[in-house]
Amino acid sequence: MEFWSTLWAVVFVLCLLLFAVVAVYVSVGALGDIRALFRRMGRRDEEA
Amino acid sequence: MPSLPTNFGTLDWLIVAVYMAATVGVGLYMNRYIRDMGDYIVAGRSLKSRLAVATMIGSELGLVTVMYSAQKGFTGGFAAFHIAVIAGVVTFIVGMTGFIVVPLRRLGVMTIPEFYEKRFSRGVRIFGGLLLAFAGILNMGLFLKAGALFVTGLTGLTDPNAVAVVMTVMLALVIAYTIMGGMVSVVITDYIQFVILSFGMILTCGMAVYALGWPNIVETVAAVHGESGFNPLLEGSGFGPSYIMWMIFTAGLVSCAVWQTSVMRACAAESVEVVRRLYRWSSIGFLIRFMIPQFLGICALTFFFNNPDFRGFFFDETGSPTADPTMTLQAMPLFLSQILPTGIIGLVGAGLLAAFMSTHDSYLLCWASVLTHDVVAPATNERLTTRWRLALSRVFILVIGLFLLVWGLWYDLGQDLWDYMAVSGAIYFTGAFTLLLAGLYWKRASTVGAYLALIAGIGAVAGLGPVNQALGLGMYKSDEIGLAITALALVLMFAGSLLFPDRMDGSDRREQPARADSPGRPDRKEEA
Repeated sequence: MEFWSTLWAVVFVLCLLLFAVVAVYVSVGALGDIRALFRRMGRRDEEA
Repeated sequence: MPSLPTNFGTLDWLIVAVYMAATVGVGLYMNRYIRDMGDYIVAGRSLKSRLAVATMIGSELGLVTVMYSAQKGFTGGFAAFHIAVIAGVVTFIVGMTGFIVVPLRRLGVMTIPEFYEKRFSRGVRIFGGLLLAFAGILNMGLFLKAGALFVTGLTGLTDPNAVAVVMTVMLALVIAYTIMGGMVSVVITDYIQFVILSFGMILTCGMAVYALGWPNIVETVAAVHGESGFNPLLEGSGFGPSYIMWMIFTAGLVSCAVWQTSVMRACAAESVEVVRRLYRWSSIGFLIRFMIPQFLGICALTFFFNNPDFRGFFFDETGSPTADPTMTLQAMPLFLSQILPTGIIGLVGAGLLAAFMSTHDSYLLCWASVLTHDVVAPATNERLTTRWRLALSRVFILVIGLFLLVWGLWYDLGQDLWDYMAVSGAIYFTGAFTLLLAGLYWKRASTVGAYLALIAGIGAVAGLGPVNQALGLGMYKSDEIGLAITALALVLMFAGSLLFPDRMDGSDRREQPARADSPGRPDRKEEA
C-alpha cells in the first residue's frame, strides 16, 4: 500500500504542476489564435 | 438528501448570473460569422494549435465529467487515478503516432459517418450515423440530472421545483446560442470556460489539501477502502485487470480518437500537424479532467467520513460508502459548499455551470450535425440546400434538448454515472472503432463487415444496469460485456470482409475506398 500511496502522491503533484504550466501557456496563446480567427473570417466576409 | 448550511451567498449568485449572461452574449454574437455548414460544424477548419487545445480541454472538462469523476474518487479512492493516467498516456500516444485522427483529418471529413461513406457505402453512413446519434444522445441523457445534483449540493437549493427551473433555464440558454452560433460560438465559450476552470480547479485542490491535510486524506482512504483504495489491480477495488483494459479502450483510445466530439476538434484543425500537436498538448488536459475531480471526490470522502453529523448520510454502520449513486454523486458539490469561501465558490460554481453549458453546446451541435449531415442529407441524395441543413440542425438541437429534459427526470441510474456513460457510448464506439481501424488500416475491410460490426456494437446496451438485470446477466460486469462486444465486432468485421468482399467495379459502393494515404480534402498548408 505504501508503494501505491507514494506513487499516486507523486503523480498527482507532478500532473498538477504540469497542467498549471500548460494552462498559462494555452490561455495566453489562444487569445492570439482567436484574434487571427476573427481576422480571417472578417477578411473572407469582405471578399464575399 | 442532507441539507447543509452552504457558503454560497448572494454575491455568488450575482457572479454566476453575470458570468452566464456574458457567456451567452458572446455565443449569440458569433452568429454573424456563420456562412455555411463548414463554419457551423468545424468553424471553417481554421483552428490553430493553442485555441484548439483550449477548446478541446474546455469541451471535455465539463460539469458532468467533474461529477462522475468525483463519484469515482469517492467510491474508488486513489485507485481511481489509474483512469486519469490511462487517458493522458493514450492521448499522448495518439498525438505522437497520429493513430486514426491524422488519416481522418487528411481525408477532410467533418464527421465519422462521412468517413463510412467514403470508405464503405452510403448505407453504412446512414446506419452508422443513426447509431452514433442514438448512442450519443442516450449518453448525454443524464447530464441534466448530474447538473441538477451539482446545483442542489453547491447552492443549498432544496426545492426540487427551483432546481428544475434553474436547469431548464440553463438548457434553454445553451440551446439558444448553439442554434445561433454553431462551432464558432462553441470555440469561444469553450475558451472562456477553459481559463476559468483550469485556474479555479487548481486553486480548489490547494484549498482542499489546506483544509483537510494530506496525511488525513491518505489515512481516511486507507480506513474506508483499505489497500483497494490505492491498488487498482485488486479485484475488490471495484476495478481489477478487466476494468483497466476497458478503461484503456474507453477512457483512453475512444474518448480522444473515436468519440465524435473529440474527433470534431481534429477535423476542425488547420492541418495534420496541428492535429498531432493538439493531441500531444491535450493529453495533460485529458489526464487532469479526471484526476482533479477524482481528488475532490476523495476529499469529500475524507470530509464526510470525519464529520459525525453527516457521516450517516454517506456511509453505512461498517464505514463503507453508501451504494446509492445519487448520494455519492452529490458528495463533491456538498463538500465544495463547505470549504470554499463566498466569492471563490461563486467563481468556481460559475465556471462549472459554464462547463455544464459548454459540454451541452458541443454535444448538441455534434449530434444534431450528425443527424443532418449523415442521416437526412445522404438519405435525400444530398439535395438539401445549406439553408435547409442549417435549419434542420437547429430543429434537431431543440428536439434533443427536450429529450434531455424528459430522460433526465425519468431514468433510474442504478450504477456509477461514469459506467452508465461508458456503456451507453459503447453502443456506438465498439462498432465505430472497428470500422475506423479496419477502414483506415486494412484494404480488405468490406461493407458487409462494416454492417456486421455496427450491429454487434448494439449488444453493448446489455451493460446498462436495468437492461443487464432484465436479461439476467448480473454475473457479468459492464466492462466484461463491453470488452466481449468489442472483440465480437472485430471478429465479425474480419469474417464478414473475408466472406463477402466488396466488388471493385463500383456496383456496391458509391465510390472507391478512401485509404489513409489517399488524397481527400487537403489541409490548409498543403493548399498553400
